[in-house]
Order: sequence, then structure tokens, then C-alpha cells
Amino acid sequence: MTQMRTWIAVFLGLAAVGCGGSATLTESQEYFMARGVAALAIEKDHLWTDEKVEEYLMLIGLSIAFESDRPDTWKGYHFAVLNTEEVNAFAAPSGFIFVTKGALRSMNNEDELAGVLAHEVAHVNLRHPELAAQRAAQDSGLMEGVKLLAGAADVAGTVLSIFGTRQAANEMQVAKDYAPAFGKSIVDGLKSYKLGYSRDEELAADKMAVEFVTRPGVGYDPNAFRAFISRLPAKADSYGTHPGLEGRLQAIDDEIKKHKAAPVDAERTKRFLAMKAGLGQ
Amino acid sequence: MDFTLLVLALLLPQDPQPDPAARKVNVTGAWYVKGPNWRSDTVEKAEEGDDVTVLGTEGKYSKVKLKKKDLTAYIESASLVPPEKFIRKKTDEKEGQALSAQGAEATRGVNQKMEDEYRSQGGPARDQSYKDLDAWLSRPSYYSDRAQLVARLKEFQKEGKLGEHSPVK
Repeated sequence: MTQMRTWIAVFLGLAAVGCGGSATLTESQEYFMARGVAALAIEKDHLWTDEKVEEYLMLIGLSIAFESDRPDTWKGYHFAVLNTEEVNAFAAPSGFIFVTKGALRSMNNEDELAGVLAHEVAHVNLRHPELAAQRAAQDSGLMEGVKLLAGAADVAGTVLSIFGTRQAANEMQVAKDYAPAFGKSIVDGLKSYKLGYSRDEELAADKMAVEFVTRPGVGYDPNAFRAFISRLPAKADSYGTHPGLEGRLQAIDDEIKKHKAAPVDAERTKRFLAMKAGLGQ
Repeated sequence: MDFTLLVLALLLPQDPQPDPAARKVNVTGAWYVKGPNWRSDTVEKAEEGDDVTVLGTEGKYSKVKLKKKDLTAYIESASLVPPEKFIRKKTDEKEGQALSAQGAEATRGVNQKMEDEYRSQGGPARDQSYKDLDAWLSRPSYYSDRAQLVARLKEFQKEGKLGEHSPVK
């Protein structure tokens, strides 16, 4: 038995060296990245913790997300307001969606807000935040730590119970060694989410946003989304890498023509303005 | 490497032929509902790792039979994955070590331990931001109560002439 264990230990050692392991983040790993990104965004700008505003955002966001092609994420969608006058909205992995107070102030009605949230839900549906997290984890060197553990455990998990202890020890060491890389991937991730994605990814999210808000189970006016986008400064920092305004508007117009559009509703605008008044001056 | 894998293949038990309709619940917030849309009445909360058999699909929902009990209901299709792709659960004693190994892979490296380490290196400001984050994730208080959440959402849609109340069909 001892000889058998020795042989298996040798195999495990070889496997740990030889296996590259998985090079992609799982949804659980993405969730911890998303938590880091969210915590950093909160540390920088702080949350606007008016529970009525948060609930209002959630109700609009879930009205869209539940009708989207990815109605749920691992731990569900969450919507928050960042307490900054910068005009921006972004999605982190795992369905964490942020809108700034400045963006809310610059909107005229609920349908505009719905369009912006639909754009972010579309990014989540298209897994753009997850792909960006993947790139950030790769560039920061974080994936090296994941691979180190993966190489050993691919083989070990099913063979030796004693390996459980070794695995835990390795996890602790990797956490210590790679926490800076984790931090860098979070900083890089947040930067890319706030700046926006590639032109093609943004256009895809715009088109999908129009489609989502006009789905029968939703019913917002997509022209409101267009109106909000048309007011964005052509070279706004917050949308610095977004496609050119003209191109975006043309793509949105083309998409709107394909769908039945409900008009902006007075009741919705009324409750939006009540929410907006609560943001203060 | 090849020799290692060969030995391990001989040591490990072989899986039976997979059922093409078998799926596992892959998210933590899914619910079994009576109809193929989110507005339907809830039946019960789906547990991550639940084994189901897909009987059919309607739109974005799958009609499933739950294996652990006599229950047939609908669930969002996006919440289901083939069993071999399920890599979430940390331990599942009933199903043995294979799933434990999958669980380890799911969280490996980037997990609570990493977060704790990163958090401890960031000082009080970072610690506070994580506290604020967790407080946010727990709001509103009824978020995890699907029936209450759906009731509130329906009310919100009715007030705003959204969804089934929209003038555009």
C-alpha cells in the first residue's frame, strides 16, 4: 500500500508539472472577480444608498433581464447607483450593473434609463464582461496561479484523500502569492468596463438593447434609448472607446425599424421624475 | 503524462452511458415555476446541483422532472447544464469524489481565500467597500423571496403599462 501511494504521489507530481489546467475562469471565479471590481468601484465612488432608488433600478433592470436570453446569472442580477457626477453605466461580470448618479440626472424618463440598463444587460447576455475579466486575469498573471493549482488537482482530486490537505495548503499559498495579480486584474477590469468595449461589442449591445426593450414582455420605447445616446458628447470620457456617435445612432435606428415600439408612458415618466428629485441637486 | 493518465484511467471507475436529457441546475437563484415564464407561480427554489430530466422546452424555459422527488415544473433553460459541465458544488457526498474535484476546479485560485487575502492587504477602506458591497447584495430584503419579488415586479409593470399591460402587442 505504501509503495502504491509512493507511485501515485510521483504521478501527481508529474501531472502537476505537466498539466496546464483550465485557462478559462469559471462562473464562480468570475463572481469573485466581479465582487472585487464592485468593491473597487464602491471604494472609489461610493454607493448612493437610497433604497427606493436602488429598488426602482432593480425593478426596471429585472423587467428586462428576466425577458432576456440570460434571465439569471450565478448569483442573480444586481443593480446599483454610484455616487458620482460622471455620466456612465457599466456591467461587471456576474450581472453586477452600475449606473452613476450623473447618468441618472442626465436622463429625462424611465424609458431612457431602461434603454441604458438594457444595453448593460445585453453586455451580460453577450458575456462581454466575462471575456474582459478573462483577459485581465490573463494579463495580470493571475491565471498562472489558477493553472498551478489546476495542474495538481486535475489528477489528485479523485485519487488521494490526503491530497485534500495539500490542496488547501496550496490554495493558501496561491492566495498570498497572487493577491497582487488578483488586485491588478480587478483594477484593469474596472477600467475596461468603465471605458467600454470594442466598437463591435458596443454596437451588438446597442442592437440587443433595442430588441430587449421592445420584447412583448417588456414594452419600453426604444426611441428613448436613442434620444439618450444622441445627447452623449461625441468624445465623452465615459464612452471614450464606444463607437462613433453617428454610427451608433444609425445602427440603433436600423434596429428600431425592425420592432414595434411602445410610446413613452406618462405614469412611468412621473415615477422616474420622482426618483430623480430624490437624487438632490 | 500519457502513462499517468493511463494508470489513472484504469484506477477510476467508468461512467455509465450518459442520458442526453439529463441536466443539472447551475445557478444559485433559480426557481421551479408552474409555467414557462417568470410571471408564473413558484413551485419551489431550485438547488444548485439538482438533477433533472428535460421533458421539453417552451421559449426560454424547459419543462423538467426533478430526480430527487416527484416534481414536474418549468425552469429557465439557461440555468441548466449537462452533468459533465457542472463544476460548481464544493462537495457532494452522495455522488462521491468526482463532483468534489469538479467543485475544487470551479473555485480554484480565485475564491474566498483569495478575496480574504486581497481584502486584508487593502486596509480599512477596502474592507469597508466589501462591507458596503455585501450590504448592497442583500438589498432589497425580499430579493431572495421569488414569490414576493415577482409580485412586486408585476405590480411595477402594471403601474408602468409594461409587459402584458403594454398597449403594443
